[in-house]
This record gives sequence, C-alpha cells and structure tokens, in this order.
Amino acid sequence: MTRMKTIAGAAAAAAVVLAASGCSAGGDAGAEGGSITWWATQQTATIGDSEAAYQAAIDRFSDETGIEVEFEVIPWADLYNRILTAVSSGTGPDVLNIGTTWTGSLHDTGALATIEGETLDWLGGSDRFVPAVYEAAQVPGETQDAVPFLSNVYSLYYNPTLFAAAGIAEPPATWEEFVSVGQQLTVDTDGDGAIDQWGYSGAAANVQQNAHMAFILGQQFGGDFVDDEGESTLDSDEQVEAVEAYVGLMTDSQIMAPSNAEIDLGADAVDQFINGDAAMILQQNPIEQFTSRDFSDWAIAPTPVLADGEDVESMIAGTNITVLVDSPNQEQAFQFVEHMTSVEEQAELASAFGLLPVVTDAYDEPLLADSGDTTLEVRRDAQADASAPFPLVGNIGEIEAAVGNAVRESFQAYATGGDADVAGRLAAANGQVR
Amino acid sequence: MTTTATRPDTAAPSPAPARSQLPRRGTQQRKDRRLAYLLILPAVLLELLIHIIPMVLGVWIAFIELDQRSLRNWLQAPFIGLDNFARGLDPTSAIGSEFLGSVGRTAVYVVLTLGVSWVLAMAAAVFLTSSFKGRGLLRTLFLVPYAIPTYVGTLAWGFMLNQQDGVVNQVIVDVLGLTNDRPYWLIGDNSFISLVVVSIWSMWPFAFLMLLAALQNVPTEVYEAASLDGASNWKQFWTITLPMIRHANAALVLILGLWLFNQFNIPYVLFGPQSPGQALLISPLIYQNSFLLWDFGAGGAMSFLLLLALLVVSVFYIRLVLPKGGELDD
Repeated sequence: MTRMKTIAGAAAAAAVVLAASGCSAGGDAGAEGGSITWWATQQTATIGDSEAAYQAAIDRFSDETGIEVEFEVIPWADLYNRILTAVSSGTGPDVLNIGTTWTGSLHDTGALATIEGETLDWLGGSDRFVPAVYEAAQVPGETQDAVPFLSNVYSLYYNPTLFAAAGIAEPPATWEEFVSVGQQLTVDTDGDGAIDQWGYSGAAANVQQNAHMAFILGQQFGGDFVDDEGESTLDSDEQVEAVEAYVGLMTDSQIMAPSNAEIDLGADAVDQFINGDAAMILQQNPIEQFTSRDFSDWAIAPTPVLADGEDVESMIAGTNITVLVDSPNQEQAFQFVEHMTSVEEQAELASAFGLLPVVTDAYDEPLLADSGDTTLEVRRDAQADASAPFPLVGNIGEIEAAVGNAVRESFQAYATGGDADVAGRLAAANGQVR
Repeated sequence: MTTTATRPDTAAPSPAPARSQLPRRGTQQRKDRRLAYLLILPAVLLELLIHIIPMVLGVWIAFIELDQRSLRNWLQAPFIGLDNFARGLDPTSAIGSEFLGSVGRTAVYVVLTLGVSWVLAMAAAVFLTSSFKGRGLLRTLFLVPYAIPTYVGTLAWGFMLNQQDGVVNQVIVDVLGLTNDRPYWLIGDNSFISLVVVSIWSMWPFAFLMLLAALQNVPTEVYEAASLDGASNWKQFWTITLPMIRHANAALVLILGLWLFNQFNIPYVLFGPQSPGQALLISPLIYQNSFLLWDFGAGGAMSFLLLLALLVVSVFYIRLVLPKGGELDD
C-alpha cells in the first residue's frame, strides 16, 4: 500500500513535470501586473473565428485592468476530457468554460472555486442574470461554483419556400402539427420513386443531440432523466413515450430519412436543410452555417410542443464560466469573469457568436436591440420562459451518454432492417447508469 | 532488459573475449559492471516512466472506485477490491454482457483479419520472389497502404463506405445495379465486415514485407535440388518454404495478433467514439466505459483482464512456437 503510494506519487510528479513542460496552459504563477490562463469553448465553425471574437474582449479587459490573458479555444468534443485531465493532475487554467449540461458532474469533482457571498456580490449579484439560466448553473442546495457565460436554445428552423410549395402557411406550433406538416413536406420531387425531400433532418447518430431531444420531449411528456432522489429514470413510461415520438419521426411517420441514422455531425443535418433535402430542423444555432453558405431561405419558430404537454422547448444550453479552486490567481480570475459577464461584453460576444446573452440588461444594448436579428425574440422567449435545466446531478454526463446512445441504436437498428425497440434499449441504458 | 542487467559483460565495450585474457581483478570487474548499469540507467528510467508505472497505475485503477467524484483526489479513491471485475464479468449485467460479447467478437475479428492478411501476404511474397518484369513496381504498390498513415487511410474508407454518397454504394447500386436499396456499411451488421476489410487493407502490407524479407533468406539451391527430385511447386511450398521461414512466421503472427487484439485506431476513426454494437471490439469498449461513461473502474478492470489474457497467451505462444535461444542460428 505505501509502496503503491510512492510509485503513484512518483507518477503524479512525473505527470506534473510533463504537463508543465509540454502544455502552455499550465500557467505562470501570477507575475506582477497579473496574468491568467483561460480555456474557452469553441463557438464558431472554426477555432480561428472564435479566437478573434474572444481576443477583442480580452484586449478590452487587458486595457482596463493591465491583466494579461493567455487563452486557448478548445473544441467541444475535447473539452470534457481536457477538464478531467486538469482535475486529476491539478494543472489546469485559472478560468474555465464548461458546458451548461455538465454543471452537476463538475460540481461533484470539487475542482471549482465557490462563488458566493462577497464574490457573488462583487460579480454584481445574481439578479442581473436571466433567472432560468442562472438557476441552471447551480446544483440545488449545494454551493455555487459557476455563473452563466453564453446561452443557447433549441428552435425550429424551417424553409418558407418549401412550406409555400406544399401550401402550408404557418410553422407547426404543436408536435402533432409538426408531424403532419412533416408528412406533407416529405415528397418525391422528381418522380423517380425515391423520396428526395424530407420533412425533418437530424443527426441521429449524434449522442448529444439525441440526448437533448430525449430530454426536451421527455419533459413535454412529463418525464425526466432522474427522479427526486437522483435515481435515473430513463425507462419510465413518459421517457419511453418521448423517445418513441422522436424515433417515430423515422420509423412511424417517416418524415426523417433512414440514412440520417449514419449522420453524427449536427452540421451535416443542417447541410441537408440548406440543400433543400429537408424542410425542417431542430437546432441550437445553425445561423452561422446558413450565412457561410449564403443561404437565406429560412425562418425560425419555437420548438413545437406536445398539444397537452409541458411547455418545454429547450434545455438550458450553452456555456458557464468558472474559476478552478487550485488557481493561484483567484482575484484576477474573478475580475475576468466579471468582465466577461458585464452588460457590454455580453452584448458583444452574443452578437459575435449569434448566441444569447445571460445578463438581462444586455438585450437593451444597441448592438442587440437594434441588430434587426429576427431570431432574437423567439430565442429569448424560449430562454426565459420555456427552457428546463438539464438534471443537476453528478452522473449527468454518464446519463447523457447512455440515453443518447440508446436513441442512436434505435435509429440505426431500424435503418438496417431491425427493430427499433426503444423501450428495451432505454431499459438497458438505465441499467448502465450507476 | 533483465538479461542485459545480469550479464553486464555483454553490454560493456570489452575489446576482446574475456576468456582469452588473464583472470581479471575484482575491481576491474566491478568497474565494468558499474559502467554497464550506468549505460542502461536512462533506458530503465524511461521504461519505468513510460511503460511500467502507467501499467501499474492502470492495474490499481481496476481495484478502486474511480469516477468524477474521486478523480481529483484519486490516491484516496475508495478501494473496492474485485467489485469492478464482478460487474465487468457478470453476464447478466449490461456492462458484463457487453464485455463478454466484445471479447468473442474481437477473437473472431483477430482470426479473420490475421488469417486473410497472412494468406494475401504469403501469396504476394511468394509471387514476388520469382523475378519478372515490373516486380519492383508491384512491390511498391503493395506497400502503399503501409506508407499511408492509418488515420488518413481509414478516413478515406469512411467516405467511401458512406451509405448515401460513398463510392462503394455508387458502384454496387448505381453502376452494377446489384441491389436497389443502398446498403449501410458503417452501421448495423455490415459494420463488422467493413471493419475487417479496412483492417486487412492496412495490415497485410506489413505481413507481406516481413514474409518477403524471410523468403529472401531461403537459399535457391534447396528449390533447385527439390525440382530435380521432382517436387511440385505446391510440395516445395509446404516442405521447404514454410519450414524454412517458420521463425519469422511465428514472430509475425504473434505481433499481428497482439496488434489486432488491441485494435483501437481503425474503429475509432471509421465509426467515431462509439462503435456500432455489431463491431464493438475490446479496446473501443474500454475507451467508451472510461471516457464516455466515466466509469474508470470498469474500464480499468477490462484493461487489466485484457492485459492478463494477452500475457498468458503470449507466454504460451513464445514457449511453444518461437525458437529457443540456440535454434536462432540456423
């Protein structure tokens, strides 16, 4: 036992040496004038675009405070593993962005600095944040260790030209309308016997998007991923009904191409929409992709909701910002958090990334209020009134992976001629969760 | 490495065989030994750092309850004995049935990929040992997959096997018209076939290269003598070629077998972080448990079992098949 510890200690020491020599984000201990490191989330298709927008915000911060910020934009796919490595080795950045859906998991690691009392007052208090978004950044009854940074919601994006061609005047408001409109829009346009325009397109092999849809629909049906005791309830009747409704888009109403079962990038589903292969998509933020492809034939509407279900159109999506408890530069780090959540910077960043600010007053900034962005109203309403936080439990990462994979397997089984067996797969997924 | 350490005289730069000199004094011997230890010290340290310590830690992880809660103070993570193994080996649990299923699947995968790769490589090597025009060109051509980085080659396969607009389905459906439905190659039952095909494509050139090198060492006189005695080509292959390259062959099968059993890159690039159930091999399953479900304990237990199984198989194989020290000289 003691020998094992010595070996482990040596390994940990070696890891620290390696990390310090190989990784620029290891961070200098606060030199005079101050310098901090930050791991930022990628908010644009390319890392370079995200860097440019962040750099502008950082320049304003450095001018104001004299504190230098070294930052790295990390793709979403890598971020969680990078954070876990930072947590286990104790060598991370000072400031960190985390996905809103990881709030519960990362709180459990104990690696995040507590934000309460004086620190919170100093950040301007909790009242200036959009309440629903602020609530989702804290595990109920536990210490607060993150504040919202930028927000996002799921909405329905549809193609008005294809709608007009099918004689449909309004976007669907309910899930039932969504399905029937989708059937009208699923057509064989060139008469070769194969359908080439589908009602809906989604990345059915993408675990995260599947989990998000399972959550949103689950909430509408009155289900949840966990019960009051925090036990996973992925196979509850409501959750099974909800996932069956989503998978049913392919298996039952058939408004979703079976080949979507192979799509694991959300951007590929958006591409199908841009190409006119699909008339509707449910996405968080496809607008940048629309712009980059010079595509303007789209309109936005709230996510359709079950006629007699709960009005949940989205989970609270986006990013929180937090300080690592091991950071030797706590003061400078929180100064940076304050700057990035200031009204002006929120408007700047939200506008640059096409995201939603998390601070209520930012919506009144000319940059957003006078932007002429037609999506803001719809998305702001969803953010404020029709979003639910992802379950704030420690094993949410595991739950998301398990349920998202079950949905993926259902789609893929059906596409390859098998049985979707939603109930069976959700039961198995529930068994995987500890 | 241990053998080197116990026989320092082989590592020390002694100009002539020790036997021909006068019996050496103890101090000289000690000096030699010290130099030898000094020379291998960097290698030992690096070996410890890169291989041994991570391996020991990996084994340790299999016996503790390591998840995001205990990760930060992982040295204090609760010791739970064999619980991880019990979970991983229980065929009635979701994790256990998946693990046992993937062990069987991996075994089939190894046998199929290794078998086909070997036959292809052997045929090509024998073929290219005889001299004919264009031999150099073919030799280079056969080695191309080996020269392409696995990631690049596998990504290209991924594009080719895409159900909607991959070239494989274009040929099968649009050009040849063999079927009306576009088959799926990256999900469902076919995904296993795709995995085997891509693996063979990337593996067989290495086997080809090794076998070709081994065949160069078989003296041509033996074949000439056999021809004079009236042995057919087929008979020559079985009675001369195979026995004469058996050592190279045995090593090759061992190396390929170990590589294939640990296969991770090809499924990861071909299918993404989560392989379809029908093509789920052990290494990707360990990755899924550790880094997608954050169940490091189960991942560690599976790694440990994999290590143990490969170790046992390798030891028996080396004992039974590989040549003993003296035999190598033939």
